[in-house]
Amino acid sequence: MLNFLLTRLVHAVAVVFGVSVAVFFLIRIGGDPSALFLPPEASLEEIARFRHLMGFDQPLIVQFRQFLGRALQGDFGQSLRYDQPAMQLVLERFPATLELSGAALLLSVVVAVPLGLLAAVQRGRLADRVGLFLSLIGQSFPTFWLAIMLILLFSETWGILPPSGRGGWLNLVMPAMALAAYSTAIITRLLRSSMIEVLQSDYIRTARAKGLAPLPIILVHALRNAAIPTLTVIALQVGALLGGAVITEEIFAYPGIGRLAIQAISNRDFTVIQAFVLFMAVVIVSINFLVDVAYALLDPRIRRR
Amino acid sequence: MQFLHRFLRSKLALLGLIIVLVVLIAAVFGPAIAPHDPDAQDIMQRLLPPLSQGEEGRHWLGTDALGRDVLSRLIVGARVSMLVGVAAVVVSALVGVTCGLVAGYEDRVLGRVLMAITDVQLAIPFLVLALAVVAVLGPSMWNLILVLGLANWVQYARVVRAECLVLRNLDFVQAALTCGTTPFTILWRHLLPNVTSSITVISGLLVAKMILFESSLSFLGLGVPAAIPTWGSMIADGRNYVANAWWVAAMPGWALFLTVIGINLVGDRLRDLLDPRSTQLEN
Amino acid sequence: MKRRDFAPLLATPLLARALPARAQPASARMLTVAQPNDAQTMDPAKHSAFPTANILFQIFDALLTQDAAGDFKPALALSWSNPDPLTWRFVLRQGVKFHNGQEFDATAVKFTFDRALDPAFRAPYFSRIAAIKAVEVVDKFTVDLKTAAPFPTMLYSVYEASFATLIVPPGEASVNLATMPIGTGPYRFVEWRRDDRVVLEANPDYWGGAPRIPRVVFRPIREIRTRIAELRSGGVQIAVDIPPEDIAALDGGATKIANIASDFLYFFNFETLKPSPLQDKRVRQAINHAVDVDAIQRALLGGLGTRIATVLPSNAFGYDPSWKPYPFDPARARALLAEAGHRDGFAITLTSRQGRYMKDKEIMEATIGFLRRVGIRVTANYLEPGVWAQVSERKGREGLIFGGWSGRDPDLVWYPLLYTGQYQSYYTNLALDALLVQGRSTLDEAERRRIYNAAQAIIHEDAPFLPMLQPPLIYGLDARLSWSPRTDSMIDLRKASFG
Repeated sequence: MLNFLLTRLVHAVAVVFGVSVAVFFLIRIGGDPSALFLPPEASLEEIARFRHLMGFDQPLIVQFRQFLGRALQGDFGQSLRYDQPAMQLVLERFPATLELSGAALLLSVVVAVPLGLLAAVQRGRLADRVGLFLSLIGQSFPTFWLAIMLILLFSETWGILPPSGRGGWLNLVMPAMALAAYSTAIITRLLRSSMIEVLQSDYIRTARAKGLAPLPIILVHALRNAAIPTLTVIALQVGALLGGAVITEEIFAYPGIGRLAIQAISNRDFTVIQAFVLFMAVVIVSINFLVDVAYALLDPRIRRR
Repeated sequence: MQFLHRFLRSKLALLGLIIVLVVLIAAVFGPAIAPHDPDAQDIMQRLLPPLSQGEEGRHWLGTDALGRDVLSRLIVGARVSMLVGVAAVVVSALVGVTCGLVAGYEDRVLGRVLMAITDVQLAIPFLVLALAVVAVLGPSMWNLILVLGLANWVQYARVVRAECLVLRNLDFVQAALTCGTTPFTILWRHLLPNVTSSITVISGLLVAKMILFESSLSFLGLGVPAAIPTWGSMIADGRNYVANAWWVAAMPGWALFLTVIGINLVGDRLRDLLDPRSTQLEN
Repeated sequence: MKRRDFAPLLATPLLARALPARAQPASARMLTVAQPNDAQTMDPAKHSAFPTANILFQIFDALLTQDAAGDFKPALALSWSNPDPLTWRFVLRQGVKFHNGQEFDATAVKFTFDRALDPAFRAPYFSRIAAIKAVEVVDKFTVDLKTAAPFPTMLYSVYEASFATLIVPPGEASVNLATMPIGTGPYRFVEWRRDDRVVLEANPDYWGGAPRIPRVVFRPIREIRTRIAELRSGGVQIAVDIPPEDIAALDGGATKIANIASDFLYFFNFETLKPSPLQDKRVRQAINHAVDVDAIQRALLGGLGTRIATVLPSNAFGYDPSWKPYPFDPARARALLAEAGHRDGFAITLTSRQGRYMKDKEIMEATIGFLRRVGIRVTANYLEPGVWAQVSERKGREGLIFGGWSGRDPDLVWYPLLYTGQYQSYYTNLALDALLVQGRSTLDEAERRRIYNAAQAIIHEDAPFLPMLQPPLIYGLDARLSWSPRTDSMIDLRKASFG
């Protein structure tokens, strides 16, 4: 088990490093943002002056070495736009996105698990059809469309929810709903099909035929087996939620990390993009690592490797 | 033929297929069947509601902010949306399946490296990747297809690899190896045919997802260059009018929604029929 | 333009039923303003955007300010004069204190300008004040700004829209201006939660009189529908950039609309330095004839805004109301094109950003539509801001360029846009160059008017632009708010109040 975990850890670090390198070069290939930070009437000499001051005129390799050196000491550079430490900006905004993604994930799981279970157990009957129908709908709506419709309905027409911003839990309701629709659909379906598969398996069938165990216990057993693929999907969805919150945050003016990323990319704020990607990579890789650990705990076969 | 029969046994799947066919017809014959010129503007006729009589005929679904016929733009937009969706899936599949086959077959160096790359890619939020690529390469339809294609090759790669790892230990592959068959032939003749059902299943569901992605990118202004109408950009352009000219955004919204549902229904049915695990459920 | 009023008509009574309590802000003691973007920094000399400027203008003052009519009035400077053509002398207001108790005097002015003019400081709006070569303290409350050559538009460079000239306290207090702004203005900084809100509270000792509203909050909300939703539900009391189509729905009941024609200019620039049909004057004139700008104004802007005959705001110095734009005449356009050898039209590109100004994309699309009718086939290239900046830097812009610009003096507009070799200039005309240089070399107003009139004659004939409009600034307001917008789009809350 320890071996397994260590390998995964090394793997994780390598991935984070790989991500940093890839993104570093990717964003710089398109040129630098000097012209963006200056007013329209700035002359070419002023732009060149700015570029030199920021060190953009040096070869990419040199810039990368500088970046790496400073990053290893925890210095991720200053944001070009805000003139503040880039990583600080990212860390400041993360709690908001975490709140939102957490709420969306919670909503997803709370809705999807009962729905999926019910659909699996009531297979072919009304509950199943309704469940499938709802998840089909959830999977087919573009997030931004859903968000706009929600604001129109709950804020402008009925006036019962605040349309934007971060505040109490009321502010989270609509964004979480918009964000969670797709994940809920996916998790419902996956849980349903995993559960159906497990419920059909020989040993469960035999146990039921023999009247050995009541339904709830069988469900728990089945759930445990169905949990593994479901966990994978949940882990994937977390990544999607964190990354996909971008549009939701934009529409609901929610001060999270997604908005920061979009602005940073539009502004070619390299240091912030770098810090953001690095941070997200660490988060996603950590989540995957945790899921690996959960696997190992749930599936004894993996432990024995 | 028998497959088609089994496919159509589900009424929902039939509905899905009909929807998809309608959209495909619109996509293929687009400009020919559109009642008006999708680019013809008349700003004095802007924001007319559905069923309005325009100067050149009835506007069944109304006009948009520049007086262009919504129905015609919807029909022509189907082309781009479908094209981008399908092409992105093709790109994803080509790259992903190739990598998956190779990684599944050669599990030592090349395979591990490929899998590490997939992990790296999964750790970069898709939108960041999309923005970066569009920024570097410039906005155009083919760049968009490239970006969307890049987003999902990983899914193919992983599934195909997992299957190949199992397959390559089977007798018929071992036999081929003993005969001295070249790796390429093994991949092409022996492994690939056996993973096609998985590929089909993934593809079916991915087309819908790609169409949704394209609309999201258009919403952010990163999609296809503006001259070409896509459903996503129509929704994005029309979203400011939802309170007073709801049809401008609602029509493409519904079109997108129904198309995606149709594709999902077809994809679901394909999975029910082709996925080895689900085949047992069918019986 | 017909407007279908069903939806808003239905919504309003529904709204009234559903939101009896929410339409009132929690207390009339707080004003929330919704802008599209968040502040970039709290340091006035380190940013280049109006949303930031609007926030900082409540915290800081400049030497001069602009009143509702657009005239310059004293702010931190009581009077100004020119002892010689190269000097602008400002006599300062006495008894003003910064929020931290420091006294305002000439050293503060010198500190502010020296700091912004320092090359190592990298002030984004350096070029607005670049003409100032030195700042000299004459006595405690008198300061001289010295220029190398006569600088007739100095006043435009020392009021609040010249962002870097908001006066900051000398010394220690300005070290952390980016996060801790300290000024002389009507509001004090309380907190800044990035991308969420900036909170300000009233400064009771403000030299211009304590503001009536105790607390002000600025919120960044990019989505227009979300801003409107917030306005309607009482979450904000000023919503910036309301589209003309929503005026009917918002003007009545708990909300109202305030609109004014801005100083900004919508126009198309022609790239005439690279080989293209645009190099022929007749083609440019044809384009001017081909586009029905009045129809665009009526249809897309609800008739709001101001039509301009040339690229200069109608309330600018030197604008002569007798100037006329090219009349809408597609037949003449086609004739000119045929004369220029383009009987069947030609293809050309249009490069621009989109989404930066209200309705910019729709105006561009409408223009393309009109050009199409006379045979000019335009391919639009909408670039996102990052790419746009790089492309323009490499002089990659070509064909038609949709521009936004502002400036209330011909020297601030025509010189950067038309003078040969200027970074933003895609045109060259030596006769015009001579006139532009003359215009900026003298301080005599009558002389300058004469010069710029002559310049306009050349500009009109040679048509390096397609001038369109000054777009309207449309604000959605809480019905009980008493506040007026300004033509330069700056928001001034000094005299704002509820009821």
